[in-house]
Amino acid sequence: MKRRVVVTGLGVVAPNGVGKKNFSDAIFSGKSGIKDITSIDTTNLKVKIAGEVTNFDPCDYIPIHIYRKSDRFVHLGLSATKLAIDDANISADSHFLKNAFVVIGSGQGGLMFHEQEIIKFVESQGTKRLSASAVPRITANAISAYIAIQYNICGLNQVISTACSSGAQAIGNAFHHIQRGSCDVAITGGVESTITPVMLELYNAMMVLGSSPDGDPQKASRPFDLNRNGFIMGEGAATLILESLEHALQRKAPIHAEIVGFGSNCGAYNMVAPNPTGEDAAEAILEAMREANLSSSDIDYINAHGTSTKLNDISETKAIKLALGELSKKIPISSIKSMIGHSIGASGAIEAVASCLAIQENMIPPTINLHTPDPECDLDYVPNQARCQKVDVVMSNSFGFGSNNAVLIFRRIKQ
Amino acid sequence: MTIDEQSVNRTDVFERVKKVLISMLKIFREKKAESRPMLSMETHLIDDLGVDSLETLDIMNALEDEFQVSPNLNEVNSKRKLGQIVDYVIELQNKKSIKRS
Repeated sequence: MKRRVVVTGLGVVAPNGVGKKNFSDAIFSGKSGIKDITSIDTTNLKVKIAGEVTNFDPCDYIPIHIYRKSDRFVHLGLSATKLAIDDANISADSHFLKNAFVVIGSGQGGLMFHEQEIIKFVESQGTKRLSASAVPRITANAISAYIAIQYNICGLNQVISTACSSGAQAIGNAFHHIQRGSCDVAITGGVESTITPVMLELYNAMMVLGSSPDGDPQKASRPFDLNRNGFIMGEGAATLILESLEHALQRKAPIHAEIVGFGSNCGAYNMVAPNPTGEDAAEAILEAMREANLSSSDIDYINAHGTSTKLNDISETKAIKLALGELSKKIPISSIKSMIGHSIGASGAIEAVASCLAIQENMIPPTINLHTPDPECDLDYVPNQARCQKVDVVMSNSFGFGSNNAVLIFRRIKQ
Repeated sequence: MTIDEQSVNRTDVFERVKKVLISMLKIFREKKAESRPMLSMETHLIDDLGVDSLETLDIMNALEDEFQVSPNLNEVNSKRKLGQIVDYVIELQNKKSIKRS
């Protein structure tokens, strides 16, 4: 028999709030974290706004020697992990951590050091010596490795990289590891730090980034609005502590929600554009629902991928309609990317935290900046104001480049 | 060199080593002063700064660039305190000036 899996710890470092309480207050009050970029000089860049994590000193959460040797993405991810471990009432010397699995999603790894070394190499025409300690800062599994090093966790240790769905893929995989009995505890989530000069301009060159209609950065990310013109780059991290229900009950852990379904597939369509029919994403949604043994009428809220690009928001709407049928018109859907931007590999994990908070608070976060409905996006996107209602079951969609789809379903714990 | 001159030189070399370390150890995002490592002659590279073998290589290369000396990796590896690194740099500088003269 498959084991039940619960979420016992939530740690989040997001552009509109660091820590569960601040993040919860922010998403339910429609607070945007999109602002002018301050961490790098944008004078010569076309991209000047992002969902940047500010009012945050990583040294409040991680040891100075790890801080020094690692890229920003490790700072964000390890801080989220500390917050999640604390939230789960786990002490650093808890014996069961030793055998835990660590599965983290990251689309890009450590970008800043990579860019700096490349620039140094090119500017000096190869004459300047490069840093001996750059490679371990750049490598994507630095985050899962440092989580293991800091907490002495010796179980399976992975970073999953599937672009914008990395965080959700990591959580789904960790869920299945516990479900089939490979481990009792998993530390999982996603992390991304893409606010670096070259990466911002590379995304901009793809014509996928949006802009504000009136210069106010907070109005730039407009999922499902007719006038949306692309996503806003974001950074951040979220970590979830997953445990088998039995393990969580035995140690009297706080239980935030149960994970009941994970659907994952590939549309095999295009490296960037989603299949406009939404058929592959719909199949991932249905797969998650089959695993959860739920039907359309059971879904109380859909936390959308909702990037604010023309293509995603239409194809996601189609996918939801295909999978859930007529009832899709009655299910509230929202995109918190309207507030935090698109943090690529972290987004699925931050949205998983938002999904658990929706269950805890019986409240649905809004899609802010949604003023002009798009006729092709004709569902209920909870515009501009949070909605209080009973939330027992939440579906969270994540769709990545390469037609990579991951859908998670969380449910209020029923013992 | 008089004893006074030697101590001025030691302080000067220390300040330059400090500058190298601060830039090399990538301390570029700390907001709070207390989060930044304090560097003194007594600072232990491993115990206080967590310097590892790769960073030792980086430190050696940076000292070579800053002081135009040729440190030896085994010898740098045997120096653990900043004061010892400073004295090692002075020793290398002296060897260089003897060679020149």
